[in-house]
Amino acid sequence: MTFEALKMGDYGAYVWSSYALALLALIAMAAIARNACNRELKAAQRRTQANRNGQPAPTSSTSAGAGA
Amino acid sequence: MMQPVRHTPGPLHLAAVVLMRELRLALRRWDQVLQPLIFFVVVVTLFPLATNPELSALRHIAPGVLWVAAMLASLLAADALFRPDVEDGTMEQWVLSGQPLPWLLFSKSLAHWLLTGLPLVLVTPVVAVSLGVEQGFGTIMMVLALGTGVLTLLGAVGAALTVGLRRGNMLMALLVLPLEMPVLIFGAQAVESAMRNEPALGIISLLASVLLLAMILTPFAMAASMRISIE
Amino acid sequence: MNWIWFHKLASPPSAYVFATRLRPWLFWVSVVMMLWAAYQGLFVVPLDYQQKDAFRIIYVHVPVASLSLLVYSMMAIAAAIGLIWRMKLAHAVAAACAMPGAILTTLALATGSIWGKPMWGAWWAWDARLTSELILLFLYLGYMALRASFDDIGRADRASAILAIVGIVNVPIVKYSVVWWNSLHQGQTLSLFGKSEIDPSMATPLVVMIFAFLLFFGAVLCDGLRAEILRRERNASWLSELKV
Repeated sequence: MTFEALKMGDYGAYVWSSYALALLALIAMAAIARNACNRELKAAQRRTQANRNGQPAPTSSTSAGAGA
Repeated sequence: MMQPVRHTPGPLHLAAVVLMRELRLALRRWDQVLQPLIFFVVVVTLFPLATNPELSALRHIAPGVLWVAAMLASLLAADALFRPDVEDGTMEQWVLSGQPLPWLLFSKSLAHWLLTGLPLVLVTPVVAVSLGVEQGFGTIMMVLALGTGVLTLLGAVGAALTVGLRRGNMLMALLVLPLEMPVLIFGAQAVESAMRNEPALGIISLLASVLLLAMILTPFAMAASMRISIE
Repeated sequence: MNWIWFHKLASPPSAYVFATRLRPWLFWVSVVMMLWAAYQGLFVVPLDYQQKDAFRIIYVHVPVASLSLLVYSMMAIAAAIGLIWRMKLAHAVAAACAMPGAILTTLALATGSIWGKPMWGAWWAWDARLTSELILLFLYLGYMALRASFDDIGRADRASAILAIVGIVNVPIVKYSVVWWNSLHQGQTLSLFGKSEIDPSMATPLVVMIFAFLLFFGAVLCDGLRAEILRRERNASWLSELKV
């Protein structure tokens, strides 16, 4: 791959920057959705654990056993 | 308050009751009713100060200035459209009254247009002269009357959507202004051809059809939003 | 017709599981397609007669721009379904569409602007297409702002659904008003876009790229949908059996 091929006439800067922006946007899209999903998953995990701990002693031991 | 009615009121009767109530309330707080009108004139005044005060230069931007000012004034007015009624519980009574809510809210918007849109239309010739407009005042008023009708209806949808929020003012502008852009485009174009004494019938009928469409569709959006907002 | 599969899929737990399974397939297939199409677009495809190398931007600009409109209509349709049939999952889909839609619209504007500079000599022109794309971005932003201002998720769903529906009714009006407005004043720029009889070797990577972006959006939607489902099903019992 020569430098001339990357330069693309004089349009290289435009072409490459738009491809780079697209890459950036794709990463941002995926990361934002992934993050939101992970955050909600963690919150759900915390809630179920809190529910189990909060339950009265006899049922909590059995439910923990069933869940594991 | 609405009068107690023994028989089932017809739709026209209902609209008349709502209209009379709104007009009577407006008489009681006429200073608030005047505020959008004053705002309209003040915004128009800003443009000569900010740009070139030569009439020949102002003439070029006059249609845009008139429409931007009208949009902002109607937006400012729309925020107060439902808020007092929602806060004092009247709106809840309306929702529970069993009367068709879209029709009630449409009548209320009509009253609102009579109180804020119509005065704006009437004052436009004076404002237009100050921007260097020389002819076509009748057409300009007609166009503004149609356009502010659409603006009032769309503003009412935005107001109904945001009335349940504590600080919905800025948000409403964000929601409503993009939806109002066609009115701005058609309206400014019509004013421009009116100023050149060209026939503007095509654009006027286009605006009229947009108004008709808005009259048919927006009351249902208003009613649905109001039900969400006051629950 | 047998609608059982639909009802099954429309229940939050099975939709969640379905989205979880589907996501990696969509993601990796789209990544492979994108890499191939980008390589073709950047290095293999012959030069355009008029635009020289600058036309290579088409391979990111056109898929993104068409997808931005498609996502908005998807969002509005999902919102309408949610509002009419009181379907939680449809609201979740609509909510998950907003952020990727806004990003895609921004990207379409940015790449269009980068393309416009060498072709038209200006970063921005008040051209019909650019203006309506900008208004589309405003609609996305308004939708997200409205959602964010409600504390209760059910009310946020219904209020933003109304806005999305009003917006989609308005989209054709905006489109035609803007096209008409522009064509009265100037009509030069669009002719530059006139296809110089696009060659199959140029078209194939473009079509592949369009589908690749579509699949990528699908993968993002899967994640977003999972987040929205979890948010709506905070206290549901199926959650505790899910993963912990």
